Order: sequence, then structure tokens, then C-alpha cells
Amino acid sequence: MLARLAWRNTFRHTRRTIITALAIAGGITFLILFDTLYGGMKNQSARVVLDYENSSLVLLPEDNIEDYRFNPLDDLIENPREAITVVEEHPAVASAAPRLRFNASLNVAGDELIAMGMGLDPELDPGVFRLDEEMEEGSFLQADGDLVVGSGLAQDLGVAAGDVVMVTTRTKRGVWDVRQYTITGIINSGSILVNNNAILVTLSDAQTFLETGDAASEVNILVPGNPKDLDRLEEISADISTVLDGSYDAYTWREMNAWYFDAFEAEESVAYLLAIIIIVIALVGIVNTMLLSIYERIRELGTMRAMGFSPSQIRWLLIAEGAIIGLFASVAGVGLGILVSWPLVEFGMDFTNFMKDFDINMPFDLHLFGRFSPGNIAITFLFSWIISILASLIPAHKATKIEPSQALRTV
Amino acid sequence: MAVLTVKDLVKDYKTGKVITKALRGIDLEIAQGEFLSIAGPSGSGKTTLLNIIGCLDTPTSGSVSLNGTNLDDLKKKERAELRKDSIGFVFQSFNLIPVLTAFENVEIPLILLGWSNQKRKETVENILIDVGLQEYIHRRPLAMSGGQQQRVAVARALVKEPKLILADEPTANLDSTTGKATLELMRELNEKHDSTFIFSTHDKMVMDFADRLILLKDGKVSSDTRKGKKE
Ligand SMILES: Nc1ncnc2c1ncn2[C@@H]1O[C@H](COP(=O)(O)OP(=O)(O)OP(=O)(O)O)[C@@H](O)[C@H]1O
Ligand SMILES: [Mg+2]
Repeated sequence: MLARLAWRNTFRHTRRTIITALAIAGGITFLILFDTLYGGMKNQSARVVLDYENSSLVLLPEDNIEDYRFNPLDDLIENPREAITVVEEHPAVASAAPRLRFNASLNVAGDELIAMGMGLDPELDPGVFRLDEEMEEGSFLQADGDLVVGSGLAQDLGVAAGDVVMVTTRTKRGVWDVRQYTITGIINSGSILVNNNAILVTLSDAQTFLETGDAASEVNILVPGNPKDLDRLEEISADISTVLDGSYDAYTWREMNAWYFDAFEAEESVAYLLAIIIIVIALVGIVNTMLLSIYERIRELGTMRAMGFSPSQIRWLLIAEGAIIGLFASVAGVGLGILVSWPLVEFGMDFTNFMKDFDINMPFDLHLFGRFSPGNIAITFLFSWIISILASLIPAHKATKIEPSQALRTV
Repeated sequence: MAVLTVKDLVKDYKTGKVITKALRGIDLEIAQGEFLSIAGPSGSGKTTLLNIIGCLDTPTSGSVSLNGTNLDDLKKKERAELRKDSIGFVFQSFNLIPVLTAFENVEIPLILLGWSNQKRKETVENILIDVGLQEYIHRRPLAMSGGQQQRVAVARALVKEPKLILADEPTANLDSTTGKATLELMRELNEKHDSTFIFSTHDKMVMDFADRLILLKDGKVSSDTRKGKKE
């Protein structure tokens, strides 16, 4: 009976109930939209890193994680082939590829731009990365002397496949050297870092150019399976470091990009803040609406008490009313949230033009797709419902304090 | 034997520093099955007296005993139980629950008493027929006239056959014809169930209708008359 009464009381002022529920639902919608965007961004960033920049695990010369980004030639893996043979013996490892990074500048008709040079093994690299699938023009590295340029960089320089450019670098020995290349391909990958900075040459080309012998700056290791299972990756990385006798260290993709993902996760506090705002909306909304409804029917509640309803029955009645409003709000909020976020998940949002002039070297895909997190949606749903119920405790308690004799005198 | 005994009942209301003496020493004995009216000018204490008798309010001093139970000894919960089990209320403005139909309104006291579905259905239908509302069983209060609503309220008060029915100005919001009909209905049920009716009023017609008339003035009983003779 209480349930039936609560249900009907909720529809006494349908409009008020709907407005309250919609206010809460709006908050939930926003939270889900945020979570979907954010989750998508994080996921894509991880994908970008794994597909183009660093693989699941990266082997670096011991303790070189700080230095390698800026002075990649200072400390090298002298014998990458041998390291690869050892690494590939680990059962979890599918493939590995060496890369030699170097700082370079690109000159065309008096224009000069700084570039991130990468020497890749044209055979091995596609086994770990997917750069070869992202050619916009021309073809991927095939032989020594080929040069693939990132699309953003090419645009800034106003060059296309077939054009001649000068590449300047400082060799391992500290000598400046210049070489002339003909661009054989333009790459447009999901990685802004690659697109805006990279010039790719073959590993052997880079090794002669930079006078490094057979050395590489890193060995990228592909570990199939869930890349988000960092515990597993860390175990494998520890295994590999042990096998290699501590001469090289293996880092996970997450460690390699800690600066970015740490910042990203710090942003999660924004989500908590949003959640708190929504709690407040829900609390204020429900408390307000229900207090109003109690004062409106104070005589009715007094009558119920006169008939012998116990205070706890009155309390349950009001909690049930709060729970119904909260349920509507949560269902509507989740429904709207999914509806509003769906186009983002399905079609994504293209920031390419918008971000063209910003130089952001983050593993961030400019065609951003949202990603639903069913777990977070479920949590949001339950959370907002529970908060609504908790909020109704305040007016419910107030209603039990009604003195029937006073309430009945109220007109 | 007296169903209800009121002894030296005093009620003071405090509003800030102002004390209103609503009842200044009331003594009453009411027997089973009486049909009794409490009359008096506005502010004389009628509602206050009914509320105290009905366990909705507590006196400042004095005692009320209902069926030999001293109400003063009861805890809050026991008072609610007593209201649920033995007292029916009828109010000036009907006070039906607007979201429930006539049937559901009348059913509530029986649900509170834990009656079975089947038994409730029969009993509620019978009493709604008794009060002449068989055609309005599934209507909601706002779709009924005042007189019809008050009949639902009377049915709601009587459905559990309580020992005592308290009605605070039950006819004040009704026209005189409907008011009279309501009183006749109450009288009928009073005779049928031998339940005790106490109703307050300041309507002359209503006073004349009762078997016994108690006049209140400034919180005191100024006269107590049975039909025809003065006590
Ligand atoms: N809650 C209260 N606080 C203060 N004074 C009150 C309160 N309730 C009633 N009173 C006062 O007590 C006195 C008796 O009130 P009561 O309502 O019992 O009179 P009544 O005879 O029912 O009047 P009416 O015919 O207008 O209904 C009045 O003076 C009233 O102002
Ligand atoms: Mg009154």
C-alpha cells in the first residue's frame, strides 16, 4: 500500500517531479558525456602510443629513460640484434624491432624546421608498429636512401613526395653532417608526434649517417594481450631485464609516457568534482521538492497519523517517493547521456582543423572518438539513485516529526 | 459503564511568552453508544478537547481514560496503536487522501490493521453501500461533492468499527441538507454498531440532533443537557 501511495504521490505534481528529475538527469547526462569523451581520449592515446610511438615494452640502455628523449645518441644499445634474439625467447613476446632516434633539422629552400629523426628497420618495424599502414602519399621505407616525412611537417615545409630536402644532424661523434634526400613518402598517422615531427629513414641508413655502428637507441617489444594489464607487462619487463643481466632496462608504454598519462589521470579529479556537483544538485533538488510536498500536504500527513500510521510508515512513504524520483532521474539521465554521447562514440569528432596551428606533441588523436564505459555508467546510475534516496531521508525525517494535532489545524 | 472519563482536564498553549488557557478543568463521563455533541463559540476549546480525547494531543494536567486505560500512561507508539485500533476520526474538511479512490481511502484503516485482501474488499464495499456510495467506489475525492466526500470520510472512520468516533465540526463545510443527511447517516451507524459518537459543532441544527449536548465556554463546561431534560 505504501508503495502504491508513494507512486501516486509522485505524480501529484507531475511537472514538478519531472523538473526535479530532469535537473538531476541533466547532471548525470553531463557526467556520462564527460566520461565517454574522457575514456575515449585515454584509450585512443594509449592506442596512439602503442601503434606508432612506443610499443608495449621498450628496451633502453640502463637508466636512460630521462635522457633518451633529448639526447638519444648519448647512450645506445650496442647490439640490438642480440638483444632481440634474447627478448623474443620470452613466451609472452611476439616480436621486437630496433629504432634509432636522432635530432635533425630539415632544410628546403632556405626554410629550416626541427625534426625528430627515426631510423627504422623496414622489415621488423611493421611487426611491432603500424606506421606502414598510414601512408598518405608515396610508400613506406623500402631501401636505404628513402625518406618518409610526417604530414604536418611536410605541410609546414610545403613539400610533397618527390621533393628534395636537406637533412642536417650531429653524429655520435659530435660532428655536423648534411645529407640530401628525395622524399619517398608522406605519413599521416594517428600520432601528432609522428605527423608533426618525424622523418623516417632506414635503420642502416641512420646508423651510417650517425656513425653509430650497429647500435640502436631502443628496442620496441610487442606483447600481445591487454596492454592495460600493466602488472603483467611489468612482470614481463622484469623478466627481460633479468635475462639481459641488467645491461638494458625494459619499460612499459605507460612508464615511457608517464608525464602524459599521469597528467591525464590527475584530470580525473575533474570527474570527481563533477560528481560532487551532481550530488549537490540531486540533494538540493530532491530535498527541496520533497519538503515543499510535505508542507503542502501537512494536513494529509496529520490525518494519516490520526488514522494510526506510525512515524516509520510515514518515513518509508517519503523515502519511497524520493526513490521513485531518483529512479526516474537516473534512468532518464543514463538514457540521455548515452543518447548524447552516442554520436561521439559512433562518428567521433574531428579536431584536425581546429588544432592545426597548435604544436602539441602529445599522444593525442585528432579524430577523437568517445568510448562508453559500461562500468562507469552503471556506477553513475546506482550512485545517483542512492544519493537521491539518501537525500529523501532529510524530508522523510522531517515528516515524522509532524505533530498530528498541529498538522490538522493547518489550513 | 463509562467508555470515556475526563477528569479536571487542563490545556495551556504556549506561544512564545503568551499562554492561552484552552481548557480550564473539564469533567465528563461518556457512556458506550452515546451520540453526543460538543458545542460552543469559536475558541472555546472544542477541537482541543477532541484532540486530547483522540490521543492526538496531550493535556497540561488532568486525565482521560478510555475503556479504563489512562491515556496519560501511554507512550507515543501506544497512542498511535490506540488510534489505529479503537478511534475513528471525521474532520471538518474531510481530509481524504486525494490520490486514492473512495474504496482505497476506506480500505486504509483495515490495511493498517492487517486484514486480509478478501475480507477488506467485502467490508469496504459493504460500508460504501451503507453510506450510499456504491456508484462512486472508484472515484477519487476531487471528483466527488463535499457531501459525498464526507460520507467517504464517515465510512473510513467507521469501517473498522471503532469504539469511539470523534468528529470535529463534520458538517461545517456542508450545506444544511447535506449536513443533515450526514448526521442521519452517523446516527444510523451509531445505532447499528452501538459505537460512541462525539462531534463538535456550532450549528444549532446539529446541536438539536444530538442526544446529549455539552456546551463549552472559555474552556469550561457551561452546560450538559440530555434530550429534553437538563442535568
Ligand atoms: N497550537 C496552538 N497554539 C496556541 N494556541 C492555540 C493552539 N491551538 C489552539 N489554540 C487556542 O486555544 C483556544 C481553543 O482553541 P480550539 O481550536 O480548541 O477552539 P475551538 O472551540 O475548536 O474553536 P473553533 O470553533 O474556531 O474551531 C483558542 O483560543 C485557540 O486560539
Ligand atoms: Mg475547532
